Amino acid sequence: MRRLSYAFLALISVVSLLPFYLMMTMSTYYTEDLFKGLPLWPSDFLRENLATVFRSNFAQVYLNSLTVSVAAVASCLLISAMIGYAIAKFRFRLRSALHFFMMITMMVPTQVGLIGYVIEMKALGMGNTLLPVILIWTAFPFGAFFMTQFIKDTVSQELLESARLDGCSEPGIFFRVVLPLVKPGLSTLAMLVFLWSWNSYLLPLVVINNQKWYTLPLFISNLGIVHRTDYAAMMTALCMAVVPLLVIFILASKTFIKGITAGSVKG
Amino acid sequence: MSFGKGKSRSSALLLFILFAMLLAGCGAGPAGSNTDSQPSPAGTDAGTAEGDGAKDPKQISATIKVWDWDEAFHETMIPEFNKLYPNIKVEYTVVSNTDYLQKLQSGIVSGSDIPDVIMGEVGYRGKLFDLDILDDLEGAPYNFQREQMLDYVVPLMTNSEDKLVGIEQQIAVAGLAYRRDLAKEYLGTDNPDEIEGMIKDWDAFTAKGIEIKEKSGGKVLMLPGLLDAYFVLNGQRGMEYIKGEDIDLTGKMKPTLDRLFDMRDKGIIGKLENGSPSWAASFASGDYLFYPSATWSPKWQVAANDKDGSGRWGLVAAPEGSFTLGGTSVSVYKDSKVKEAAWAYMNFCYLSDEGTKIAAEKFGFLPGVKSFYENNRELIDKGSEFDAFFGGQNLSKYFVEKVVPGVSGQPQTKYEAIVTQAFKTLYPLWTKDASIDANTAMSKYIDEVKSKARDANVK
Repeated sequence: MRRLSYAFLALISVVSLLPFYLMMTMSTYYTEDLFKGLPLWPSDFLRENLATVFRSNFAQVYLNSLTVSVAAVASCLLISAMIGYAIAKFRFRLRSALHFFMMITMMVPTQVGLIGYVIEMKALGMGNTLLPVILIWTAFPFGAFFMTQFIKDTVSQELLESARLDGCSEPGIFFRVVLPLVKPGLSTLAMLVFLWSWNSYLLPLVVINNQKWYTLPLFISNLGIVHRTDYAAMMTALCMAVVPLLVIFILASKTFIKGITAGSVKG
Repeated sequence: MSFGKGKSRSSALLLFILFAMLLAGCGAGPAGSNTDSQPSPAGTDAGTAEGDGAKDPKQISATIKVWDWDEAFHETMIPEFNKLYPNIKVEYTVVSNTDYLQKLQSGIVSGSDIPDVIMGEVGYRGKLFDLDILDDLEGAPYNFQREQMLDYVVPLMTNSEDKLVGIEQQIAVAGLAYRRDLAKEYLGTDNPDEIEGMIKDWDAFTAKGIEIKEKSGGKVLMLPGLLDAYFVLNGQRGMEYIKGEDIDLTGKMKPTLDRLFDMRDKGIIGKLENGSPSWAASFASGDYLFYPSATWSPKWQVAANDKDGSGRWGLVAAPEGSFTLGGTSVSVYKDSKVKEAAWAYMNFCYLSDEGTKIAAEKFGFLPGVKSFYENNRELIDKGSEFDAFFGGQNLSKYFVEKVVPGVSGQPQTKYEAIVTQAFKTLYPLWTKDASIDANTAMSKYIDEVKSKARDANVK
């Protein structure tokens, strides 16, 4: 039975990892050779594909994506945690209405508000910069909802009262008591926001009109597009694009798993 | 493949006669030659700066924005353009043609940046022309004349109100690329003239297809898929079948479907989906004799998909006439603040003698402007780098002499893309299910177009 379960797990692992492996081997092929069969073994076209990728301003694009994702994560975590703390632990007028509103906005597809958001950013003079792509994450309903639930389940009211009795200020309680307690939740949200902002395509496509500010998904979709799509070069760029995601997942996998299972078992 | 001296002379004479005919009745000067009222010389060749009102190119100072997917083209053209217009800064942004219209529409709705020079790929051109955001290039300050363009491109550059809102970036006329090795084996010759004689019309094409299929034991077919055949057949029937909200789909498509289904039922067309991995791989595998091939195809389709196939290919005109495949128009945004500069750049790149010559030499672009062919005979005769790939056949000359004269451009409306897209949605089913006949397919086609174009009357 144990052997069977190991075999099953091995099979699932192969099925899950094969596309990732193929992405790497495909990056070593000449595009048109990709279609001649399953590219299981590496080929000899990697150098040319790398040259295609680096021919444009790949380093600048990479830096843009990193800037966007890091800034998005930082701002989203801070604001979501603050909203979550306020809704979970304070009693004030219209609190339920605010919570309800937050949940409603989660149900509205991003595309619906896209044009309004672009108009808003233009009115604020932020068109053609990276700011619109970052600021969208400061009003992220899922983040606020997630942190509300996490703080509700993790931070006890008694602990907050003790801190107040000991003379800690309200910001002090938030930064020195609440945030350390919700670290797993924060790292889970950080990973998700990093992943989503890193892969975001539609918003940068609409708001960025200067290729100096292009992010990785836009750059990759524009590789070798004149009459022919250079899939192999795209795969090469993708391989490089997933590196930060892998590093972050490896570093934060323990807290990530804690975060997604938090609240699943009631004591 | 070598041509005798006599043949070269007769070809040269034919070319001369062809362009004399094209230019007949054209009172305008060479490309970009403008009336005196035009504020900008816009073009840069000798013929363009003649008008009394022509401004010194150095006096035009502006920054223009261009969105295009062809980065290499602008990287080459901008420095050349700046030699003549040093004070016009051209900023290009690479935007994929699949995202182009969406990005443009979002920009229009939100009031954010719109480029001064707008590209219209044929897949979305009708919709773009219908947005009413493009300037009429026959009006001031451009005063361009449609007679300066090859006749067949004019319908492709005009909107439903017959306003000329774009100029053709390059001609995208097409014939059929064929495998010389297969042609020799199954047709007994790889000479383009002889092959053309064998497939003069679609009946002859079908008959040859049956013959080849039988000879090869079903291994070699005429075309890789229904969509490839559709491109040819539909492209040959450029006509005004969309008038306002009325789409006469049956009038336009029924003959095409009849022919397509006849060829499908006789088993001379493959089952590959155009653009799919297996379709791309088929160029090298040698299972199909013909592929639709436009001016841009030798480089981007044939050579790219059959990189060891140099000398293995040839080009012939399609049975019963030529057609267009792909193509891009270039327009000026009607609310642009720098129309004069935008037009100067467009005119330099796509119309002027100097710009078109550079584009032809560096990229193999054959422009849509007549004067190019009058002034640059030697470029056509010289051939292109992909001629060797096609067994030494002078492709530019073949396209210009044999393909351009018979081609008709499809007028562009917002429904054009819907009609093509509907076919693309349906044809995989028609490929698989042989029980569907042309009549059933036609009614399905009408339903599909109706569902996508709800405000139109489709019959």
